Amino acid sequence: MTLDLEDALREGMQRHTSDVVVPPQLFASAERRYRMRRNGTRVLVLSGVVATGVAVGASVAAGPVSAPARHAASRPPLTTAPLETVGYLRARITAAIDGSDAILHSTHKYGDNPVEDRWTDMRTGRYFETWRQPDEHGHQTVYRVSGQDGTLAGIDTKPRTALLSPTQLRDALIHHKITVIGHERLRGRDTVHVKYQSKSPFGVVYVDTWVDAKSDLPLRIVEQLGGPLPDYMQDYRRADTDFYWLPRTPQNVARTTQTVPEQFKHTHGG
Amino acid sequence: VSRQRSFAELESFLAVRGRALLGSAILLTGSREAGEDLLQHALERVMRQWYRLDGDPEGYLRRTMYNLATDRWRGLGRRREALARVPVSDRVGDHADAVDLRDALVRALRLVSPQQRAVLVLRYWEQQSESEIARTLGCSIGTVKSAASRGLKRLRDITGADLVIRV
Repeated sequence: MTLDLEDALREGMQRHTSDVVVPPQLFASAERRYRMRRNGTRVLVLSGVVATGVAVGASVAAGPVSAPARHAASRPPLTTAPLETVGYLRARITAAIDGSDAILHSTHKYGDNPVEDRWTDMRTGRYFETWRQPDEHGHQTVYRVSGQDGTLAGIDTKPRTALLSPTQLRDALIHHKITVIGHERLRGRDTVHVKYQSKSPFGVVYVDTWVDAKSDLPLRIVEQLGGPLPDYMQDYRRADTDFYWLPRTPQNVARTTQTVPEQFKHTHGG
Repeated sequence: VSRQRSFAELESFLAVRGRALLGSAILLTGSREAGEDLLQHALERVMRQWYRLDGDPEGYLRRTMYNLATDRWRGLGRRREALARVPVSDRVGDHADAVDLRDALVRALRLVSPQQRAVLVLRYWEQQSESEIARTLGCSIGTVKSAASRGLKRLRDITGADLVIRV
């Protein structure tokens, strides 16, 4: 018996797929898979290298199981560890910042010059800030305080470069492409080093942040302006901000409701 | 356009075209379960790009599915697995009737290269022209022609049947 191969193949394919029905749950399963990936909640058994978080210099993204992970299947069982995807980190950091009711003490410096000391009530957003502004006499102290609702109620200074509060950092992490550098020690804690780039009126800003691996709260942000800067901005090329998350004791809460000394006057602000 | 509404549009599209796409996926992978998995995986990829896609999603979904099929097959060494799974009885001799032969040809698809299989499915199941296949797979028309020719020859060799290839 002689058949035309192409006709036989065509008919065979039609026969093979004639009773195909799309399972009703297929779309829902795809959507669930998409949401899990987007939220970074997929948990995989990983190779030792990634499980220990030493993903140095690599953007970590959920994807097909890597070759080392496949080979790991034939090895003795490893500790199951969550994949530190960008999405997973974002979700953790956002939840930690939004859920915090700590008193946040943040210190800020440009270069080697300490300029800012801020106390923030993470529950209400209320803050009290002391800002040391250089002038012709050395330094001028400026206070920046908020109203009860956390909006600016006191003195504001000249526009700054890109100083980030934790909530601003949270928003920035959501809207920028971030890269996970890996785990690093900072102030005796295990942290995850994350970086991204953003823009400012002075050009590109390279932002590095270290997030506590246990609490998912940021401990340090370093912002560096890239490219040429005008002379008056040279001192502002690098800015370091350290965060200290303190318990909600009456003493710490009181730090956020301090009053500006009487000799200072309100000059401008919202 | 809200996320919910957009995905509802994608779901409606699947209700209309899902059967044809799933048929392709089954032919590409060799089994119903693997075909469903492939289509689901391709849909998830499309969801990731959904807000950036303009126009008809079918072309993008199909391209994604074919690329995933060839990558996955190559990456997981499925070809070796398939070779090991196909029993000797799948071979069809001169005495086999036409129906068995057609079934054997489809089963033998698992044994040709991923690119040859993709070309054969696009050509004989989806009835695409050579230029359309080249666009879908991102290769030249010459590559499509040679992959189709080699794929058909391989199918004939595997099945061992008396088949005529038109040139």
